[in-house]
Amino acid sequence: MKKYFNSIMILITSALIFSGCAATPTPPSTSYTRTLEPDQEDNIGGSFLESNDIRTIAYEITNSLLTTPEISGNDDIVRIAIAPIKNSSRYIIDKNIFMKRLRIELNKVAKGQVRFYSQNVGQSTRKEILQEQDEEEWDLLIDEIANYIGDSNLVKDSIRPLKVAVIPVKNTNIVGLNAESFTSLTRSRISEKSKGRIIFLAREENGRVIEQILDESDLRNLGLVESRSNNSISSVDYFFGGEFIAKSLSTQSVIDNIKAEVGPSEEDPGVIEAKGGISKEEPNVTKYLNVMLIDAQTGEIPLEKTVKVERKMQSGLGNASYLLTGELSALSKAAAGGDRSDYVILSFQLVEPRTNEVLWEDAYETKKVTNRSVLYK
Amino acid sequence: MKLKKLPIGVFCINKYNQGIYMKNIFRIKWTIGIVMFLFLTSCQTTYNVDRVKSEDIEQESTIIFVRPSQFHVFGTESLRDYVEVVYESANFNDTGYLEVNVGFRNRGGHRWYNTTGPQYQLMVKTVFYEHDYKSPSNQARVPLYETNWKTINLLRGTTVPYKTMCPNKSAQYYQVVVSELQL
Repeated sequence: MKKYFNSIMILITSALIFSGCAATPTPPSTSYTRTLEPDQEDNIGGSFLESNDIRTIAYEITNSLLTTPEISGNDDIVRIAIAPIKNSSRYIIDKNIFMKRLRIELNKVAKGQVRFYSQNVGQSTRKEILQEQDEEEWDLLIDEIANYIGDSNLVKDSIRPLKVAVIPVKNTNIVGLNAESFTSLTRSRISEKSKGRIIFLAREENGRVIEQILDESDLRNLGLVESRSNNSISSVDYFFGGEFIAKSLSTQSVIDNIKAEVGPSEEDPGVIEAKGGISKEEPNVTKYLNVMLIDAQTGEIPLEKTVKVERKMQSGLGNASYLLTGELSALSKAAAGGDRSDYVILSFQLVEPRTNEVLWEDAYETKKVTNRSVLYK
Repeated sequence: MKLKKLPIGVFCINKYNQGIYMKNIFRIKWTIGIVMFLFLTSCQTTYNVDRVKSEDIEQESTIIFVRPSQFHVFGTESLRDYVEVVYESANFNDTGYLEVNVGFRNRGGHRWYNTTGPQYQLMVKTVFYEHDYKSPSNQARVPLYETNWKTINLLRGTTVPYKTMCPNKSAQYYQVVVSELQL
């Protein structure tokens, strides 16, 4: 009895102890989805480049690039512009994924030695930031103009207060801003700065003066008036006007973009809605404002000042030392029943932009065969 | 002497069987103690995770093969049996980066019951360290840089070169890990 009991006890204890390492545990899961390492195979099929290949490309090309004399032998920061990869394979995929992973790897390991330009993402927000920064500087610009005019000898040495009429600013179409508000602000600041030495005509009076000048201009054209000066009828000493100037070789103007689209609603995808609108696209050039005080008698310009009101939104690519680009090529075979084979070669080149010389080239190649053809997106 | 069996398993209490009774009580307590111990260990909220032994790491080579996912009593069915390293070199290249070159070869069938051997794929990655990872210091075992798992295709009779480099110039040590990485 005792012997039998001891044996049972030993068996039970052993079973309990060894049950812990009897089998590979099955991890509990409440999800239909599994998380894989990016290097793992997903067992879905396909014979094209997989996530593992994309990562291997990034690691290998990074190492190869870092050992080039253009980068390793350069003590300064190397600035690289990226040109999209040319996809010559039969697959329609997001070809930017290769450059994206490569750029991530290079940024991670090069620690500031290599820099890239933001070429696609965040440009509209960047434009907003720059515009707001420029607008912040408008107060300073107006002050600069007011100080220039208020402190000028023309104003200081005048025996009596100068009567000035404001005429419309020209070329406002290149900036798309409310020029009337801008000139009102400038006028007010000049008046304040000159401490009564400049007297501006009221808005309505400005209109009358302008009408008179235009009328006189018509009469001059007809040969009915021979006077060269305007002050005889407008009774002002100077005209305050200006002009926006675009630093560009071609003619620049604000473009109206008319957009119309039909598609699922963002709020309720089940509803198809039609949207339309007009947006203004300003020319991307550096813009200056040229203000001037025009002598009403002679038409001469005794005072003139040019200030920068908006800078061109530069892509920065002009400072790039090198251009990195590549091409994706493939030799694909297909047989009946889903059998597919692909030999893929992805080449990268580092190009000197001025001479167009290929300074470095490397490639990743692979060949895969599958009996389950899949759709890549 | 035959004892009277009670429904709850307690042995008969008999003035004439005091000795047997005491022995049975002792056995019951012993059994309950073991079972309780085994069960109570499962009731802990947290456990300490095993730390790798420094002696084990000291014995590790610069090229290691990960234990396969399938383990049998008689043999492991590991692809390790078919892999041999033809060459291994590590040196600092002209730009000052640590470069590792390993040649893997498929040795084919080499047992009487396996005359051909498979053609297979392996996953290889390299971990670079700034300090000697075999030192007892935990800090030394923190990797400086890790490559991704690269797939290499081992055909019989071909030595497949595996070349990698650490893009961090502080790297001094490395360890190549070979695995059958499966789903």
